[in-house]
Amino acid sequence: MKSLRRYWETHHGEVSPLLRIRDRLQSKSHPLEASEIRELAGQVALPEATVKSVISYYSDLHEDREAIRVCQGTSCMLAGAEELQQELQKRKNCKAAYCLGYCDRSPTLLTAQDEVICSQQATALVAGEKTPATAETPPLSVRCLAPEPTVTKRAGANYSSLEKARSAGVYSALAQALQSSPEELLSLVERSGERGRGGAGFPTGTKWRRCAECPGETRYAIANGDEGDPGSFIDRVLMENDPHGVIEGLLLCGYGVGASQGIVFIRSEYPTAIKRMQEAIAEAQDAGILGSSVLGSNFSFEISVFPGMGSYVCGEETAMLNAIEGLRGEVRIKPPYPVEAGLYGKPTVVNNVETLVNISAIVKKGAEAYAATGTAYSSGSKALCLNHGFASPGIVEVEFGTTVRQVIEEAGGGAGGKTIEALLLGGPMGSLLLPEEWDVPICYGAMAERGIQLGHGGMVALLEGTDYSALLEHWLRFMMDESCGKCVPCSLGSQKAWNLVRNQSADPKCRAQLEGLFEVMEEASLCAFGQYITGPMRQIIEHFGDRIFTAGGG
Amino acid sequence: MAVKTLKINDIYVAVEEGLTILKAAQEAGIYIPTLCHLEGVSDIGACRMCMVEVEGINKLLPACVTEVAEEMVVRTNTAKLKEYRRMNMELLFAEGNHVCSVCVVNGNCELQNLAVEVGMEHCRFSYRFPDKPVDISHPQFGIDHNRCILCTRCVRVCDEVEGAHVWDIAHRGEECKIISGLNQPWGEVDACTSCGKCVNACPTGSIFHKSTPVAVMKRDRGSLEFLSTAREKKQWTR
Ligand SMILES: Cc1cc2nc3c(=O)[nH]c(=O)nc-3n(C[C@H](O)[C@H](O)[C@H](O)COP(=O)(O)O)c2cc1C
Ligand code: SF4
Ligand code: SF4
Ligand code: SF4
Ligand code: FES
Ligand code: FES
Repeated sequence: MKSLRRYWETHHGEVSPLLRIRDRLQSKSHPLEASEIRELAGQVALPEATVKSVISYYSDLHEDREAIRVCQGTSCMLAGAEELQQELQKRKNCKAAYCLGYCDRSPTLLTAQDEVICSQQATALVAGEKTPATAETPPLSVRCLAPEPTVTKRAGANYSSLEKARSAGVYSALAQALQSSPEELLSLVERSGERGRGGAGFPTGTKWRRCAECPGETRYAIANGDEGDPGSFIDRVLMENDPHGVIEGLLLCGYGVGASQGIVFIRSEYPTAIKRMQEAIAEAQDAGILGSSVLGSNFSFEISVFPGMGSYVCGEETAMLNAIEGLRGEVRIKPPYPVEAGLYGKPTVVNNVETLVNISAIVKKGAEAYAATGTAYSSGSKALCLNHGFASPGIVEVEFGTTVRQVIEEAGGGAGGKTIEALLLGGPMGSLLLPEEWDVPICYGAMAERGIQLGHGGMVALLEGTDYSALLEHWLRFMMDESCGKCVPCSLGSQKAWNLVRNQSADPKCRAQLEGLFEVMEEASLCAFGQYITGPMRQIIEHFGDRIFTAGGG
Repeated sequence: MAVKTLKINDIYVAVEEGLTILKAAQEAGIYIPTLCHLEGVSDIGACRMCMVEVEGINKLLPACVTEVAEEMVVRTNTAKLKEYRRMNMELLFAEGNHVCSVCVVNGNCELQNLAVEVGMEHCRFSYRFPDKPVDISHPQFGIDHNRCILCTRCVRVCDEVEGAHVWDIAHRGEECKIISGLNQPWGEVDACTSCGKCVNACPTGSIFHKSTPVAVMKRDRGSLEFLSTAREKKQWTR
């Protein structure tokens, strides 16, 4: 039976309709006229209604391109981003964004010229100061608590030129892997015990094997650089400072699973990452690292960058595939899984950027040595992102098994000597941890046993005096703004829950109604977004309900 | 043809491999509520009314898109499921303006029937009373967005069976809205062949025949199923 998805067949994956629609929109300073959309629809071989639908789905395709993006992500929200936007809006054209990847220096703004303004500079700009008193943006701090750095090896400085990357050893693992068969690489990754860092902790080797063993000629390897979770920024830093490390990881993935085309999907909130990745790809292409004969072997691999267009859910792998195919970023029903039928219906591996950067270390170290680090369930190390609420924010790489408390202590506790009341771990679908829970080791297994989601490893400190009612409302606002709208519990439930918190928190029935709604979302939503986003909210209500529900319902 | 045997609500059912739980249940005469599912068009698993429990799987599964497996043990009507379906229904009702007494399909409405079915006597959420438009620009039909539940049955039937693709969904999340053409009045969309398939596909009173007095419109769903079977199996006689 034919379904709506058949339209991709008409463009054979050459240039995504979505990119063509975006380029057309960008070539004009005004929204397209009806006749122009008609013409465009003909060019991209999509029905007119679908083109209209797609434009209205992606924020970047209908919001003002000249507006300054004011981050309303969790970390920035806690730094007063809402008031900041209200103030700035009086003088400048603004729009909201959810996380610009500078959560260690909130609040953050991104200009239409791709300039990031953060921390005190942002506040100064809003206050109307022409030249901010503190001219320097505080630098990013990258630290490593593991015996040796893996992910953060090249994250602390700019290694984006090929020469510098090569002198730091990038592409030597690739050369080594090309000496042996893809099967050996697959087996190596399986034995390493690596788990995906994108959130779910799925074993990388298993995923690759499934894809490699699906019949078919064409396969795709995709690096997920969408990093939508407000509070994490490691992928941004990797793509900006270590783009060749990402390319090497994706090349290894392609070689292992038998793909010849790779895509790096990067959110548009990360313009510098997009630019650096594109430049690095071009440089690698010129040097014969990418192309029809990778490092002189008979392995052929090409990589292109696909920019996100302003939708959180597009970080979910099947929504991402829809976006690349030129459709709305709605989540697909699984099965079939992307490894069986992914991009254009072909077997596809989607791996997080950080997951891929680990692969070269596995090749170099050997599977057994890699598996010996970390815990039995989660081998290797993980980069954690600490927001401005910590005394020493930034990126901290830790071996799996390190406790949350150790990380918080290393960071010197709360900023300005304030007490950390609770920790938000792992972004919107993550968890809230009270101090008594901080002895949990960072490990997908140990955390799952306690119902804790590590997510992508973002850590946002909730300092004494946090307004939990505002935090809860923020969480629901995020859900409303970002739900793809496909299923009823998530798209309608979020609106109802937000309304309850905003307008009826004094009603004694409010809390019970809210919890009832959460249950339906968790149990009946189609994807992990609706199923897990309630977790932190439930914990906020459980521990701080008395500060939210005024009718004593807490 | 391989056969799978499963148990639905303690009844053994043997069906062809590759069928969905929903189909298997229908063959066995077991009712599972559905809304976004429509015979003859692709399934999207979006309304979540057909969720069932499957032993050994710790989450609920949508029956319309989940394939049967050997020795599967399915429950379609547990207290938990009933509560979720009811809550789901309430979400739909609170979202739109469903004043059944003045609706063209009163008594013939899938949404209304389902509400009765799941025992929704009242809605626990405050109604939103949205101010949504009614478009009567088409010479024969009209669409009242106040009654639309965004099931996309009209989108799929118009695309997959009629091949016109007049409808689509605009925006995202709770702002989603059905649009015709370039979000223009239906009557101005050249692609529409006035075949009436979307009218028959709509489970609510959202898309209707104009000049239909309150509560007399009946859908011709059979003709729709016939059409799609005809196309698939090339059988053009009824
Ligand atoms: C709503 C939603 C958003 C997601 N966003 C991201 C993201 O921004 N980056 C990411 O790597 N994975 C994200 N994921 C997880 C991906 O679907 C996928 O599991 C992951 O990219 C797989 O990579 P891994 O196996 O290397 O972890 C998201 C999942 C959901 C449900
Ligand atoms: S849970 Fe939310 S994001 Fe996921 S499919 Fe449903 S509406 Fe879309
Ligand atoms: S009447 Fe037919 S062609 Fe017109 S919108 Fe409805 S289904 Fe599509
Ligand atoms: S108009 Fe009818 S068929 Fe179309 S989405 Fe709305 S309720 Fe469903
Ligand atoms: S930069 Fe604002 S939350 Fe990440
Ligand atoms: S009928 Fe199965 S999800 Fe709608």
